[in-house]
Amino acid sequence: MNLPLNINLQQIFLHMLNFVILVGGLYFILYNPIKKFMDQRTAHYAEMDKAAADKLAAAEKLEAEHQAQLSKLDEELRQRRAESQKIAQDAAQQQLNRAQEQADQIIAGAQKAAESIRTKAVADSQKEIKELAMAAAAKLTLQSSKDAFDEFLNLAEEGKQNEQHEKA
Amino acid sequence: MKQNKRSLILWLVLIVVLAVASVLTGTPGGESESVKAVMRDAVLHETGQVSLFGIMDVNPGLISAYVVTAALLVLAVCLRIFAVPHFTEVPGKLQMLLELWVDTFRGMAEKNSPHNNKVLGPYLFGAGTYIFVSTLFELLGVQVVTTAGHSLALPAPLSDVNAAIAMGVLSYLFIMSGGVSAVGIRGVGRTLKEFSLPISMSFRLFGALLSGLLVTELVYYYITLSYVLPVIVGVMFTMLHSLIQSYVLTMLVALYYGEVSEPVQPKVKKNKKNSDALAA
Repeated sequence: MNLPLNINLQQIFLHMLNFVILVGGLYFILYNPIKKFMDQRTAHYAEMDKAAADKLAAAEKLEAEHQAQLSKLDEELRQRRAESQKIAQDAAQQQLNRAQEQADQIIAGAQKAAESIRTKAVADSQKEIKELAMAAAAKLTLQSSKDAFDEFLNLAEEGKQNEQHEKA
Repeated sequence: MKQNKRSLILWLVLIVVLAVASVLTGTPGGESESVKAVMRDAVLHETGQVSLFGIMDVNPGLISAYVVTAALLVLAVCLRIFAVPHFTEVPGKLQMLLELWVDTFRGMAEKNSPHNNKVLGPYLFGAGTYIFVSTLFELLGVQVVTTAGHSLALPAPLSDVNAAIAMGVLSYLFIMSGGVSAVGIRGVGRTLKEFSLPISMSFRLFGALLSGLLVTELVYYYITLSYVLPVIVGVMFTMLHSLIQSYVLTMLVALYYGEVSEPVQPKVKKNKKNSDALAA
């Protein structure tokens, strides 16, 4: 069947048949195997990528866990250090308090001893003075007034020197 | 050195003498045909028909189409047997070329028809390859004998109007089938909306390839134009045509296929209250 421009339906169908055969042949022989290979390769790389991502995620998780453990240990260490410092400070304070107490006791004992020594010295001096005074009075009564008086003065001066010497 | 120079001069003189002789002895037209007859025959193939295995007389374009198809299928089988099984993850040059070849058309299908492209990729691959190779085929100048007994160089298949119509109509039907498979009867409506598509696709192909053929015929008709010019006209134009036409047809098919097979969006029910409130 011929139409204008030498258009021929039979030849059109023959061209179509030829083209359909070509498309089908190229699809089955070349396009599909190459596409399949490319898809498999893409899938393989995607799988590798996923595996790497999974490993990375696991490593990151592990790192986070280790970091948390480290933080926990740091916190524990800090607490223990604080406790140790507190204990040491308490012990030092106790020692200081005890030393202070001992020092206070020593000072009090020393003050008490010094007081008793002083009291004894004063009492001894007074007793000596009394004895001297009594001895002098006795001598005065027995000897002349001038000699007795001189002797009294000498004795009194000696007694005073003795007292100063004891005080020093 | 001196002998080389002499040989060169002799060669150039010989070229000039032969060129002048061929121009002077030539006739302005073909031996027995006018320009009009040559052009008419190039377009209509009324006289230059070739016998198809002795069964029937056909246009030489059909013979070209069969030769191209046979060559492509043989090449595909060879590549399938010798190249594809040796593909590696790190591709070589041939593998890269084949992957680029497939991936270009697959990418075009996926880009232009993201919802439905399973069949589109192979079709574009076949059509693009066919147009590209068959257009380049005319460069080989394979000779056949017409039924009238003349020698004839086989033209590009798509410079035959029947091949162009076949390609255009088949592409149109393929687009329609994509629409039907994706959205049912609505796809037919969408495709029929573009009723001029088969005609435009057919005659775009036919016109583009025929123009190259006519210019080449014209150049060869006048013997004075047969020096150097055919290299530019015949080779460069054919190579450009092969690239451009394969790109244009595959791109058009992909675009229209994507358009007609686009899924139907559910209609958003109008909320009267909201629209009233907005209007207020």
